[in-house]
Amino acid sequence: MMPFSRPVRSDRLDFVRITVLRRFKSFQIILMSSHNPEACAACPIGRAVQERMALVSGKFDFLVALMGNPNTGKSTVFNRLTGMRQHTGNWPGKTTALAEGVFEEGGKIFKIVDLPGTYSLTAADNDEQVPERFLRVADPDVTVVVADATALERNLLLCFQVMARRAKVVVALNLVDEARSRGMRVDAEALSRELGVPVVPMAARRGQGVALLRSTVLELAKAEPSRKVSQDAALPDSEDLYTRAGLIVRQCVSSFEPRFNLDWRYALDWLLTSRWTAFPIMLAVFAFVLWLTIVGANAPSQFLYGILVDWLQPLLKHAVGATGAPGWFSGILVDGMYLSGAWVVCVMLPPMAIFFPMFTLLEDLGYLPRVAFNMDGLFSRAGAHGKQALTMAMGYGCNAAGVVAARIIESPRERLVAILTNNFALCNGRWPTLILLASLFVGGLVPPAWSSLASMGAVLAVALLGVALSLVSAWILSRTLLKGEPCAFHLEIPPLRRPCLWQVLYTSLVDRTIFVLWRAVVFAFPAGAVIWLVANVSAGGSPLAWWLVEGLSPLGWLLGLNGVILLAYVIAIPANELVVPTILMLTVTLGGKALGAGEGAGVIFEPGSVNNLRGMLTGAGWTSLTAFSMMLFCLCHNPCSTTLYTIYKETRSLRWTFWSAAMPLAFGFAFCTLFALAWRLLA
Amino acid sequence: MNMTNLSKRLRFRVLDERSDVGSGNARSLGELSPGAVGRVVELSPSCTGFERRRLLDLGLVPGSMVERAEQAPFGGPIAFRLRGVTLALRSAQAGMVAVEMMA
Repeated sequence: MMPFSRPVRSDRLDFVRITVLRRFKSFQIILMSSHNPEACAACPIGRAVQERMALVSGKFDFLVALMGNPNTGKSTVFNRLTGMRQHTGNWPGKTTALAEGVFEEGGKIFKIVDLPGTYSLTAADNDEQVPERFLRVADPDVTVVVADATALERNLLLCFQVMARRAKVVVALNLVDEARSRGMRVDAEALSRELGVPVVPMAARRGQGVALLRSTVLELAKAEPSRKVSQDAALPDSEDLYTRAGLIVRQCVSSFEPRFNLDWRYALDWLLTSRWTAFPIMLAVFAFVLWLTIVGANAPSQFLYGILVDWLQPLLKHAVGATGAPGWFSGILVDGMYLSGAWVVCVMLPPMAIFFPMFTLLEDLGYLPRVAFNMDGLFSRAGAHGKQALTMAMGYGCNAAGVVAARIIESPRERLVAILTNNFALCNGRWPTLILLASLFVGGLVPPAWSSLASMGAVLAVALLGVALSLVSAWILSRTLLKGEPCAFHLEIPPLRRPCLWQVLYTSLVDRTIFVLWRAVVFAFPAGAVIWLVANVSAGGSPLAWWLVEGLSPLGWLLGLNGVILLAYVIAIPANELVVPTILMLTVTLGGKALGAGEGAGVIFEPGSVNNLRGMLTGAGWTSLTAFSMMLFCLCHNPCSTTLYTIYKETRSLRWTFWSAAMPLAFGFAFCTLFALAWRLLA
Repeated sequence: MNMTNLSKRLRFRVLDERSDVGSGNARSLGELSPGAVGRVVELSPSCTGFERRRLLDLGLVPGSMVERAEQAPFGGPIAFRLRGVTLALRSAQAGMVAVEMMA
């Protein structure tokens, strides 16, 4: 990757290369720094540079491990300490990834690792082993245990265990603001005396206590270890620890009359989980998120299209043409690769920029565990795990992220069920396809005032069908490939918390939206090249695409689709977002050919208004059957290649990867064939 | 593991060790009525290994006070409040925890 600008050389200048945020691997900036490192440390820019260097080169003074129970605001503490100077080593989403960050205090560089939440160091399998192993293998200099002030007894279990194995421990007593609002006051000094380690009261989401935490960590890092412990010390019995915890809590925590009566929280909880109100509320929330995404994404998508395609593409074409490159070169580059990438951005960015923040909002609020609680009755009867509701919810953003999120399910059998059925959650790459089809063919059937409601209804129906299919396929799997008994189930339901708005926006936009979008664009480029080649390379007088479409036509007819759709699905295996542009490009190209248009009938088209698009498709032979069948197929087809690859990495088994593709495809073929049959018989 | 069998066995043990405790007092966690509070007596011996460890780590140690809250729809898990936390367990697991009924 070329540098941003030509560096100015001088004897007294060094060059420092920094990679900003490892996920953007190819993006580098070249900064200059003087020979004088002390001067650098005194200047804020120089300090930022040094921290980035530590993040990349691994040079740091002290290693800090960040641990704690799940739901204690650990991530908030981590974010506050490191700001933007962090990256996640894995997919965004559930914090079962190891995030690393860097912060500077008192002239020293600290590298801090955010370990997965765990209740105890004695957990037997999966991700919960990571903290225990990390403590032993990485030997951090300081361990920070984040404790929830509202549930101190349970959190002290982990504190005790960590203190038995590490000499330098700091307890970050988080959520003191929430404790206060519930009428609990924790005496941090008394707690510190009882435990024998420093205790820092914090309200991380308001930024309180962060500075104190940093200075405490610094002090502890520089000091001599005051306690003698062994890394492999046997952990004391949980019963004894709870007895100790109970005594300490009685001494250090006092209650008083809170300012606001909190019974409304219990009432709200009852509303969210009771027999009659739970499901309607879940349905309403789901429908609302869908509706907002559909309606809200319309205008921004058109706007982006206007810029990236209407305005920018002809410019690029002209620029490439001006360099004297052959026509096919500009064709592949601009009409193929660039157009695909631009389409993905126009079509994916607005919905994701709405969906992911809403999802993160619900997650921060604490609503999602309640959804898992409500759904477990159904899921356990299907042989699955209630937490699958969470992985499915994640899958509505991106299926690969949903697959990774399945790590929250401890039992291997249930985890596999969640992974294999995740594809029935409509990922963001498929929403535009469904929304487009729904607005064209369903919305067009009703008066304009109702059209957005009707489209939303159609999309909701398909999404709910997906939920039903997840349950059905889980049931089938539990009786065939994944026979077994339901496992133990436990779920902590955190209290409903006011979400931290800025953090929600940051996590959802940067961590999730941009990351997923980036991956989509990267896959779009080669797929775009393939599309162009298939449309423009001729054999026997017709483009390659024509031959392939003809070959796939019989199968297409059977399914109620057509050859173009099937070819598009094959080409779009890398990314679901590409199905629609591929179909449009193929339709235009082949349609043009059939109408006797000239060579290189371009892939530049103007969907313009909705009616134009519908006209174009119906002209190419589409009927309502095609549209509905495609909506079904959109739900039930193989996962995109990124998801397949992720499944392979998670399961480490080709067999399960195969089934994860074969099963939805089998459903798709079966459904579409039956649907087409019924439609033709009844029409 | 049949829950009726288990609770019969539990009652038998309590009577043996502490004959002053009334026979109606020992129950399994799953039998608590909504809003009732129980004190954990012990975990069933059939609950072993990882599951046992997990229940202990979550706070279901002898002496903990547990209050039963809502049950999820469709015969789903039951929510319990203990040690300042809300924890949901399926009926089968709740049946493995022996509690003494309090007020």
